[in-house]
Amino acid sequence: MLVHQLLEASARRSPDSTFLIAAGEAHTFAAIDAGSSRIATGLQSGGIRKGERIALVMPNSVELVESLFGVLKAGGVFVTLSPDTNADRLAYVLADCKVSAVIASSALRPIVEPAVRWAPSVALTVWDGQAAADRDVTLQDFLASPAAGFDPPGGIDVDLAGIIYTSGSTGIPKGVMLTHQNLCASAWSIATYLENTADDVVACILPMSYGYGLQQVLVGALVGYAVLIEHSFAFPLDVMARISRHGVTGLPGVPSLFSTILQIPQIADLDLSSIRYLTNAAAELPVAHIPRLQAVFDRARIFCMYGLTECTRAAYLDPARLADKPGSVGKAIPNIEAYVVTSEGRRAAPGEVGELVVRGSSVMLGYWGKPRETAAVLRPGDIPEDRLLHTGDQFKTDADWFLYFVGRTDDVFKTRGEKVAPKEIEGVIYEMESVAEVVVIGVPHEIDGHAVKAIVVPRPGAALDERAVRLHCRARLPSHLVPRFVELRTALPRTESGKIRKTGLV
Amino acid sequence: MLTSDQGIAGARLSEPEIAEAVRLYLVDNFLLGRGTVSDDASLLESGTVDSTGIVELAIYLEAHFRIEVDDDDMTAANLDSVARIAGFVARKQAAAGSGDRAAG
Repeated sequence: MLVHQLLEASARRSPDSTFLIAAGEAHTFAAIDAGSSRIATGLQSGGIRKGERIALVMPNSVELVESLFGVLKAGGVFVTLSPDTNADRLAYVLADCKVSAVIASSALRPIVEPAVRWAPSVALTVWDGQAAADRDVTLQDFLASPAAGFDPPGGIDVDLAGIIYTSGSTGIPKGVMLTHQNLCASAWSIATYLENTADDVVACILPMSYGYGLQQVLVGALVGYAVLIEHSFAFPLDVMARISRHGVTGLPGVPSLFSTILQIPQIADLDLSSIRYLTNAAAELPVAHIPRLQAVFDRARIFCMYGLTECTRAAYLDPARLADKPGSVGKAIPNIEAYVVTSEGRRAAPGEVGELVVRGSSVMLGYWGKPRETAAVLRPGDIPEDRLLHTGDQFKTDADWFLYFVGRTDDVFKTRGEKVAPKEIEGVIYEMESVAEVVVIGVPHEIDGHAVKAIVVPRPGAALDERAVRLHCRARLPSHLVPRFVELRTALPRTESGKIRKTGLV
Repeated sequence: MLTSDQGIAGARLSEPEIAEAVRLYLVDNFLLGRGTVSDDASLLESGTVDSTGIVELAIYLEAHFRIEVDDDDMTAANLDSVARIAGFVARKQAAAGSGDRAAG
């Protein structure tokens, strides 16, 4: 099965059913299928050939969904980028996987135009929105063109479908290569354990540029449910009112999103009885939040899950076990094997801490252009030819083999559900001439899970303040990596060997 | 309520003046002094600010214009463009001003 065939099949089965709801408007499966075909036609006539990478730099929107499927129908590989990216990061990605075309919101021109100028591989830029010059190509031109006439590229399911960039512990972003088979396998597994049906309405607030948000759309294409598209959670009350109005049945979130909901004073006034499930991933849902969420969403089952970009999703806790297995992410999702191995490589006994490994058809092909990094995480299993994904996350199990997250094997942490590699932020702050030393850590934070904190030692005599550090970071890093806290100190603690000692820093 | 700095609320800035101050703040803090922000562009859709930025913006509005931004004020209708923010601040200041008079 190919990813875009999920949409084509739903459009044949139930053409007039609603697939997307955005800005109060409903869009049917037939309409989105037709729109994506026109985009495929436009891309092919713009010179895009099978296997070429096409970057999508847009917020959650109908146009992003049409573009995702349009790229795949044209035989391309989508490369999703969160609109909170910046020109440096975008330029890195465009060059790293040699992107041929970019589809971007015209509102993001100030970020996209400089990045494209630095990327010689980009031959075509398509703007979603207003053209700034006559020669500009827009997505609206593609969508307004007469009936689609693209050449089916003749792909197979082990072809690459998408590349999603993730922070690596080295600080250099890595492109996770996912095949059609990987994405379809995840969609099937998720739909199975969430028992999704065509009657569901799922709110997609999380960015579709990452695996968690993307799958809300792909599962919708698979089972035929409607997706309420939201481009952010900046105005939570507005979003929750729309969730109530549209009879949303499924609300996927991360701990920071659920914490924000619990802080809305008027949340009890909204009718949220249509919601039958909440899902949490990316970081552990604080156990104390569970009864409070159950009070707000009184008919909802709560799924605590675990996943990572490299395999999308790996484990979930059956909501019936929430009370007797608090803090657990349960067991492997359908058609996935997930278990703990010790540092010697044997399967861990209950209670023993080790690294979680995952095997299954959703495990990525590898990191784009990084064979060494790929070999470090995809290693042989029980038979040498098997590919086991080493997650870098430490886990243990209880006597019933339920999985519990313990910590990382490196200093990577998560903020608002997104991975943070301290080295990446430290490298950016070290660019400042007035900085002698810096260390970045995650500090516990009520909303973010962990908040990014930079502890900076200025050079003697240098004038440096918190604001200067933050502005410098804002120019060079995606917003979630900009330190929320900056503390200036005269020295950092050291180990006996002279390295900066991170443990114990707050 | 207003003590040492009656100036800002007391002078009752016009909406265009409020808009200009907000625009300067956004350009300085979110666009790093480069570019501009039009009156009606959505701050979120243009990527000018994200959800964390909206919270920072609310803190700035409270401090600079001496108003209170309540949780139920955090809506797109109030805060998602320079023009909307200016209207929101003006309404808040007018409400606070009439409250002062009533109290006085």
